[in-house]
Amino acid sequence: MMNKYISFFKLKIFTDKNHLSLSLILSLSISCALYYNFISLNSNPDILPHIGNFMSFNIVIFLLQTMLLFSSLTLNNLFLIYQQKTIGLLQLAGVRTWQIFVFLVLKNFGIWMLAILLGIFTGFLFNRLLVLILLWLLRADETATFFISLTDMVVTTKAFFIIFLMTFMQTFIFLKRVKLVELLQERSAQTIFTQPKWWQLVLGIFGLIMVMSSYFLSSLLLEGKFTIISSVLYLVILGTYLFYRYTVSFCLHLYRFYKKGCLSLNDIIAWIPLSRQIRKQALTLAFITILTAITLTGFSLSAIAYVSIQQNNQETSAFDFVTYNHQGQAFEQALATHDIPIEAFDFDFLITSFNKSELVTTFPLELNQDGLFFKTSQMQLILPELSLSNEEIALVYLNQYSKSLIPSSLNTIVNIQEPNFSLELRLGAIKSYPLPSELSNSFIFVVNDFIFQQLASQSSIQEKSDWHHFRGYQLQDLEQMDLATNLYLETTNNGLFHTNNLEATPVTILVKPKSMIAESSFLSAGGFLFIGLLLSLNSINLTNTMVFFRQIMASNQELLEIKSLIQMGFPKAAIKKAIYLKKAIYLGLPLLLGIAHSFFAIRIGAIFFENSDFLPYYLTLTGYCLVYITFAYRVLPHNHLVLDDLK
Amino acid sequence: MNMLTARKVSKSYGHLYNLKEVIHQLNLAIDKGEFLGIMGPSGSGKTTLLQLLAGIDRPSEGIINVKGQPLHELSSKQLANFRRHEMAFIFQNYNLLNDLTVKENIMLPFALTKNRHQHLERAHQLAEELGILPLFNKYPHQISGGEQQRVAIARALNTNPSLLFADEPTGALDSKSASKLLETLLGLNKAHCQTILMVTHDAISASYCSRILFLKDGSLYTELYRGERTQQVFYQDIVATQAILGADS
Repeated sequence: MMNKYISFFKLKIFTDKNHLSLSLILSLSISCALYYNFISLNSNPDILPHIGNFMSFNIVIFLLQTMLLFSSLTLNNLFLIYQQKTIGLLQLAGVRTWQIFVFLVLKNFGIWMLAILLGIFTGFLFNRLLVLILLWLLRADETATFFISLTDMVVTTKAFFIIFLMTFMQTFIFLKRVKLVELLQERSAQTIFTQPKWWQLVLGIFGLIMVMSSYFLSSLLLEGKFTIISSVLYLVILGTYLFYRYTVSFCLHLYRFYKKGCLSLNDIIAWIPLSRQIRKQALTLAFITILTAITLTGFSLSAIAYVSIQQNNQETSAFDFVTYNHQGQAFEQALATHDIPIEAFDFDFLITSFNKSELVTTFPLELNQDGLFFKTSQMQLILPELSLSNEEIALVYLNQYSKSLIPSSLNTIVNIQEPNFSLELRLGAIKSYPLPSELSNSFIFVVNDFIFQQLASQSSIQEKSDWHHFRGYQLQDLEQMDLATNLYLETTNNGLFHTNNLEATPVTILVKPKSMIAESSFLSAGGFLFIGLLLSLNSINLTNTMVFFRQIMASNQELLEIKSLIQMGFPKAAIKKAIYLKKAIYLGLPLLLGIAHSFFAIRIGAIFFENSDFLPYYLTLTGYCLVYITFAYRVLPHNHLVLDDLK
Repeated sequence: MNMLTARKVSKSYGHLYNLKEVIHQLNLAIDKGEFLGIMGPSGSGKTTLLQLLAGIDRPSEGIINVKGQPLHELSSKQLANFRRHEMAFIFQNYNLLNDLTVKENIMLPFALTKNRHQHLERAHQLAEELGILPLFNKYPHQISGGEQQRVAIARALNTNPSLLFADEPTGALDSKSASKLLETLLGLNKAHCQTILMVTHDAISASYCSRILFLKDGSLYTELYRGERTQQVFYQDIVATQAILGADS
């Protein structure tokens, strides 16, 4: 009995002329290597001091596992379909279903164990390189040592073994449900072309509308309609599926109708079979597209965030240090002692609440209801051109994100209502200036000094204004930044400021120096960029293997047709060209659609990173496409070999 | 006038120590308008000979001329081009493209031609002649085997080829569809003076031919001319020759 298993195992592993088993081993081992490397970060002593708790390991591990599970089930299903004729012939030869099940499970077990061993070994080999990349991204001036974690190896093996058990169940269900006659069928349902029906046309148009409207809605998000994010996501997913299932075949059907039976070789080899294949494989293609879009979005946003840190930091605050409520004397004395020149700007401000419906159409949750009022004379020190009359008010936005929330135009009327006081002001100016980040959760207004005094005399405003003054410092010599930062932390209790409100309850505020904000931003953005890199590699690896499986199976099914075209006198060069066109469309369509989805997602995301520069996106996009094409290239030699063999 | 001639044609497969000669020094001449059958036991080289004569494969030795054009002088591209314009094929499994409708399958040979629409009229004529016009917008899986083979004939004849090659065209058909198909081929041969070269192992199918070559181990064993004989008598002669061929083996 054992010999039977071994000979079947050998037969299927080593006589697989399309090398699908080897391809599966390769794909799983790459995923395993990436998985091992990711979880080992959590215990790597070179990394731990830098990443602390900011990385959401569990979320990313869950994402990786989900990606692996769905991909593995899809690949296993394709692998079963690929072998269905062999399974049918074995059944015909009298081998019982449970014996075939054992054969298949043994073979899969071999593939998975080999992939896990290879993956962990490769993961270990590349671990140091990846850690060095991460440290470089985190801007940590350290080197990495070789690190082996047996615990992480066991965890990786366990995770992959659980996914293997899922495929085990899937194989069992497949064999239980499939009938012998279906296994032996020469022509599967996948190869039968059916004419599109009118309702499919409607669904096709509907799919297109869904994708387009999700793109449109995503541009509306710029106005702050965050509640529709989930609807957009569902629209994109469903729209993508319908697009593949019906829109593509409908468009190609129209094209075919226009051709009136006179098709070219490209139509015959590429476009017409594609319309069938894309329709029948809509689910896989939609999955690949969404996965591509998600990983590309995540990766690109991390890259944008990473590149934007310096710029964001500048936008976050124009001041290197900030002290509140006149509590900076000790810091200033320390600076004077160390002979560090610094420029200081004083600002008094008031906290009011008022109806902002005239100013913004949708009020984002993360923006509090308060408005901060500054006086013109002080703001003129940093915005010299600002000048306001008694009836005017100016709005100051801190960054691109807050700008996107203010659709107001000049001359809008703003009403300030306090219990014993009301005021109507006209919006006279909209200006940009990076005030300290602690204030960025409120709207910033400037009024002329007379109005400011009127507001300051209101008891209701005094009650709210626990914090009423800040002093911003700009260092003259940036080389003294480290020393000045240390002095700031020493003299301000690590940036913690205290005050008492009118009810004598203590309130505190934590203010970090600008250089420290940049440092922690690099830590989180670098970490996310690294995660994006791992996820992207994993996504490309898995999605391309799926496409590879699909294309090899399609090529085998179409072999006879290609052979008869050659016999009829169609030149091999023209046939090859048409096949390449077909492969390029099949491989390129999910990539292009994924890029389109990600482009719209990134347009929204980039606003959060306060960066309108899309260069990092284009760079990551180029990198992603190059790796994708490299992986995709393995589909082509198969056709070369098949065609060259044909007479 | 000879439509096709083959002189001392041989074909071997394998390498130096494992050489297998499938066709050995075969001479042959086919006249225009002839309906030639090639018969022989399995492994006698029927299909290989058909592939050599059609330029699908190249002989190891010898010369094949089609319409006075030596095939060995043509490059692969020229040969493919020559095949597309001068020859046509029908196969046992019809080899229709499943994704294309009947009409598109018939128009297939013009896939590399610029003015494809000009050939639509002939496609209609052929379809009408072969009784498949009502099936024009159907897909191969929606029609019977006999109908599929007639579509394959329409596709083959659409380019107005000098030579029609048929490899076991009735192999996958029931007897009624097979005889209907052979009548069609005979009709084309008689009415349009179409030269046909058919490989078959079936004596009934072969009895429609005007001449039959019997192959044995890659060489010409004998040939039978129908002449003025009735189809019934010719059939009996074929069966008798097959019996002798079998006994000799």
